[in-house]
Amino acid sequence: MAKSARDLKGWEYIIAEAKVAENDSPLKGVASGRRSSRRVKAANESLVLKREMDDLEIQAGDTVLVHQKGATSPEIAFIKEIKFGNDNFIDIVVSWFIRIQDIDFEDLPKAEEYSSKNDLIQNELFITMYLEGIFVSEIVEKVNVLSLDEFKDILIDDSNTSNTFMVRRGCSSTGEEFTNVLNYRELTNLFHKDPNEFVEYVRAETVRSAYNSPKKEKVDIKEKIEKIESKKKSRRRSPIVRDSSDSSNEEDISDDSGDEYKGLGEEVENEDGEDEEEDHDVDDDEDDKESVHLSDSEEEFAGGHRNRKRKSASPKKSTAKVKRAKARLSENTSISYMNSVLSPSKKQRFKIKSANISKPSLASLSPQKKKGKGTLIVEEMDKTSEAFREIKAKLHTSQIVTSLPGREDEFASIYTSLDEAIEHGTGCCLYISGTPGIGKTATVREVIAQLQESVKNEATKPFDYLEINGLKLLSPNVAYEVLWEKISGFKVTPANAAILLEKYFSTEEDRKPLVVLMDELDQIVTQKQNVMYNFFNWPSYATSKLIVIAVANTMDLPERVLSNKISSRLGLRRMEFKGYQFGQLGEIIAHRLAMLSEQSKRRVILTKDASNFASRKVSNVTGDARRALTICRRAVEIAEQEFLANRNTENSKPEEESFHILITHISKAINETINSPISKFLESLPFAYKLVLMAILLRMKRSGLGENSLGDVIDEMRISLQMFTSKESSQIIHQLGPNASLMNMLYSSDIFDFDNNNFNIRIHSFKRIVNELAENGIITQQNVPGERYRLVHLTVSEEEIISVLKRDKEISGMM
Amino acid sequence: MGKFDECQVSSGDVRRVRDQIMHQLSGGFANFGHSKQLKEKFNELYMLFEHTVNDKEGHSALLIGPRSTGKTTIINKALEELESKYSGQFLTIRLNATIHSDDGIALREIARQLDEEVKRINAFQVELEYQLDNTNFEQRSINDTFANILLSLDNNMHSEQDEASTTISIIFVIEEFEKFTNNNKQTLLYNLFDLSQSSSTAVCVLGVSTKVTTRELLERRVRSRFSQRIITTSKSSSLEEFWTDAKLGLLFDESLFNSLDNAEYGKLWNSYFEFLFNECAQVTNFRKLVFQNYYTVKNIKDFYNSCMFAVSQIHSSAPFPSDMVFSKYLNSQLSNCVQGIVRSLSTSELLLTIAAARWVEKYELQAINFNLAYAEYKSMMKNYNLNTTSGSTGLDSKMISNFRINHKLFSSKILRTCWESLYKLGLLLDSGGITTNNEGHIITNANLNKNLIIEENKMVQLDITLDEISTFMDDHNAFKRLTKL
Repeated sequence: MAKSARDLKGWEYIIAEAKVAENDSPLKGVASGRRSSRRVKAANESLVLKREMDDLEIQAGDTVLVHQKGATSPEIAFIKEIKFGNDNFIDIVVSWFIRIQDIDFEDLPKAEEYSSKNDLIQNELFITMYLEGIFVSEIVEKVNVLSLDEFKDILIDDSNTSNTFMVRRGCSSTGEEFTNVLNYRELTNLFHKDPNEFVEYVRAETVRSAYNSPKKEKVDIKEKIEKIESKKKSRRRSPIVRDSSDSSNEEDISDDSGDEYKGLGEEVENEDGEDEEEDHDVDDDEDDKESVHLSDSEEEFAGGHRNRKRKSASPKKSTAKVKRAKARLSENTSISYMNSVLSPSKKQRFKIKSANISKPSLASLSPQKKKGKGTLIVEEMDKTSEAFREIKAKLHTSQIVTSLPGREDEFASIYTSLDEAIEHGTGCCLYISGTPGIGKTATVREVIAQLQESVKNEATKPFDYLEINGLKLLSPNVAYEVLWEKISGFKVTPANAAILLEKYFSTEEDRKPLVVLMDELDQIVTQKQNVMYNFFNWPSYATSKLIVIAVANTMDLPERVLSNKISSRLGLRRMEFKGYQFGQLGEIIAHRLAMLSEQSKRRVILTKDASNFASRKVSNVTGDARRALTICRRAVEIAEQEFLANRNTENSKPEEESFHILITHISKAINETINSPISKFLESLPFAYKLVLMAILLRMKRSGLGENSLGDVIDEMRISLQMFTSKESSQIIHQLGPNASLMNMLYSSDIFDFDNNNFNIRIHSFKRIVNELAENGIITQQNVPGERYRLVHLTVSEEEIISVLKRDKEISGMM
Repeated sequence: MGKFDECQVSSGDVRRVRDQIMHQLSGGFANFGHSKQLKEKFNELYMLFEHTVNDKEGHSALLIGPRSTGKTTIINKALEELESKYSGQFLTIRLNATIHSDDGIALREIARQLDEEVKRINAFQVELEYQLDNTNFEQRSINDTFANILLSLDNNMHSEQDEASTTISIIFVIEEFEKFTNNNKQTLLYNLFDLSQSSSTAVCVLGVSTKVTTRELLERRVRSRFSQRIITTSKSSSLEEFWTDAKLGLLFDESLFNSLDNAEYGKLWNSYFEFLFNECAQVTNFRKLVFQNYYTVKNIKDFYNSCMFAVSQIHSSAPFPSDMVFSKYLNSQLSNCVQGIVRSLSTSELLLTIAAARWVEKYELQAINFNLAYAEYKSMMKNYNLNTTSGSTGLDSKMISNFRINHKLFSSKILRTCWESLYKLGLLLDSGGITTNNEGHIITNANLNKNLIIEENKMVQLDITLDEISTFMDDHNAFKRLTKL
């Protein structure tokens, strides 16, 4: 895959009509050049990629060594297809081979050639129908894959062992089911005749069990080839005739999908062109009116991109185009419109904030790619570590998931509400509540993505979408600014934006419905609740076509912040998300693990018990999916360390085994999250600190109050220490001399002379000790001048302190 | 002590050793790599950073521990090591809540540091095709700045996902972390943790705090986004451990022995402190110093401070710090503020203080005004004068009664001045200035002790008790018996 022509740097692509008309001179386009070359695309074209560096040419039907990013060792893949992509500039679809070393010996078919572990042909591969897209940059080199007969004919030595392989069987993608012996050469022949048949054939062979249909009578490859051959012949006749006509016709004859892609491609390009022109227009305008800047449409575009990742290029472009058009809608008129809306008195203050034309980006900070070094590091890692890495990535909350298990009902309900509202062009307000980490935002985003998908298929009317997060705004009023910027493309001050919005929503106008997701709504609170009120109120205007999805933690928020009269009028549709149940959390984890690559799945296994344990623990407390995932990820980290330690000591052969993540790892991770560091902290405190705490405890016991004055604590400390002489505690201190005691140590006015009986009234650095305890969050103290009359109280549980002090020999006697 | 006395040392050597050791004591020395406990924490932290930088994972953690237990030391060390290994692949943003006291300032600081970094890299690549326009993260409007930061961090690499391996990781180190939780909304923390959870840019948020209960201070939403991971550092748990850690700062590095004219001096220097602590026949001041520190604050930096004076005193005729000098620092410390004030009082002020303390003791009331104190003073002094004479009889009594040493009973006018000076010294405190609101939070009156004139009947509190006065008064002080009721 290559996302854009730029990614193809270093590669050249050649469109060759290899199969149909080999004598035609191939059309050549250099990647760095204009994309226009894509337009001249033939019906039965085949793309050939050529690496400029070493003239390596690859095309469909080749076998290549692929080093995927993040993988430890290169894998071998069979290129099924190279085409101009839908989402990407060029799609390379491959089916993977599995090396015999990666398959458990026990799983190998019980055939004589696999009878002994030592006699395996190390260069044997198994073909799978595990299709995947790869990146051009991942291709390392071409390799030879031979059938068994061919393989026997050649000599394998050091020179070719790394790039010559043999295939005689296929297997399922898990490496557990195997086909009978097949002839690879014939397979490739089949491929060249018809790639789809080839895929079907191998799939039918490898995943037989999945096909529930009654077994078809076995078709020999050869027969199949013949069948296709004859079909082809009959089909091919007509195209050939048309092929001879001029090249412009070729576009018309392109059949099925190819046509669509090309069409879209063209559209995109046209728009690109237009956009550029517009940019120029805008630039000119800006020279005239420096105070007015167009909002940065790049930014909008980027935002859109984030929210609708799954959308393909064309609709996105078109929305951008609409925005452009809107923005272009003569700045003069929009400004005069804005002026007309804003009252004259405000006019003086009315100014359009300048929008920065280009946003800074961290991309510039990113390090240059150090290819050689990078791969070197990767190669040092073995496959198991690799698998650990991948499993952690999949368990990270930022991982993009394809579905949200356990939220199907909510999804459907939100979807229908929104769909209906968009369809009828009515305003609507949806209120979603629930505790953190239970998929509120994720579900809404998913709904929007689906709706946008269906807009593409013209099943739903087009709509705009905006996301506002209450906690990502510094002040609630900024919400107006953001919303108005989305609508008009101009940045104005929040106060003005509010007026403009009010006007905008209350006037009849032909506009697209606008869906606004207000995340963390409860943070958009102002003194008079204006912002929240407005966002609830606007949808109720007949003309607004505004759909607000409000997301917050508390269920009764509208009642709490809005008067009853208003909230009853709003007609909120409410929905409460419940915490994930144990089963649902398990599903979430399983869903993410299912996305692991085949290799990693075999290497590191998160046992069912372990994931159950984690989900049970979390569902009992919060049902927070984030928490569950974090725990699992941490458990994997712990297991990884364990694994590394083992490997370093034993030096066994971990390559062959898979590592299991067990309940013990999970419970370790959970303990880390719930264990508070308090008791450990208390244990390490010096004696004087403990004495203060002990005195506070005693005082509490005597007075029966939670808060005691520091004066009482001071007296208590002194008395306890005077009364108390335990042999154990003074043993260490006696090393300093016969007269030494804790009393001397802490109170003596001259610690270097214990015979002197002058005592201070407080222990040494008393103030500092109390302050530090307060700073550590163990006690809180009243902030008043003087010492004796300030009140102190414990902020951690009494029991915790008592249990720690009891364990301490030096002080336990005083308790 | 014999071998230490015999050692002949050149003045150059003494200077070299003194400079080096003073440098170490004053903080130019990371007490690291020897302490096992810190080493473990360091490894944990380093792993965390490495996962962020190398594997591009988002992480968050809290580093909690009392002051001067090496929190910042291990962070710096970890970042240093990271820099040497993954130079240019990450950038560090440091915030300190005492400096960046609210979210707005903190955001501006983040923007500024990002800008700085961009500039630095630009200057670096000026010959290359990279030429960035003059856009900054920091904008005039704080909202724009905020939006900019979020956008670039959150969104950064979505457009170039296939090059994800080249994105830069960002490590946030936030010191005094708990202060950011004071803010009700915790906007900054929410966003930072959210980035660490959901951003495609690898973001590591490390909060540094002294408060053990920091995690409980996080708001629910913020907590859900936080990984719950806490790394703790703690003070040494035993005296031996404390001593092994503490002495490291006093030792002269063996690799520097060669720079000395007499390498023997270096060796002796290093054994000298062990000798003072353990092997000396009598109990040394140095040993007491270590014990005192261990029992009260257990703070190595404090210990170094108290050694500094002694080390600074060495010269070629006495190349090792004398044990006697080690007591200097502690003895010159102010033991307690109130105690110091009382010691400095004039006689009449002291008597008035005692009278007030007596009254408080008698009636078990906390507040007192001048009139009450003066009445107590009068009766107390009358009693005192009576008692000094009553014991004597006969001729002697006559003799003495003629020379009766009566302590003068000062008029209330004079003592009013004393009362005022006690108030100004802070021995008397405004009472009733303290109220608590419904939630139990204490509201203090900001104008406490700001009044210059104190009225006769104004109720005040005395910050010392009779018992305490008697404790530190010398036995031969004539007024000591007044402190007994």
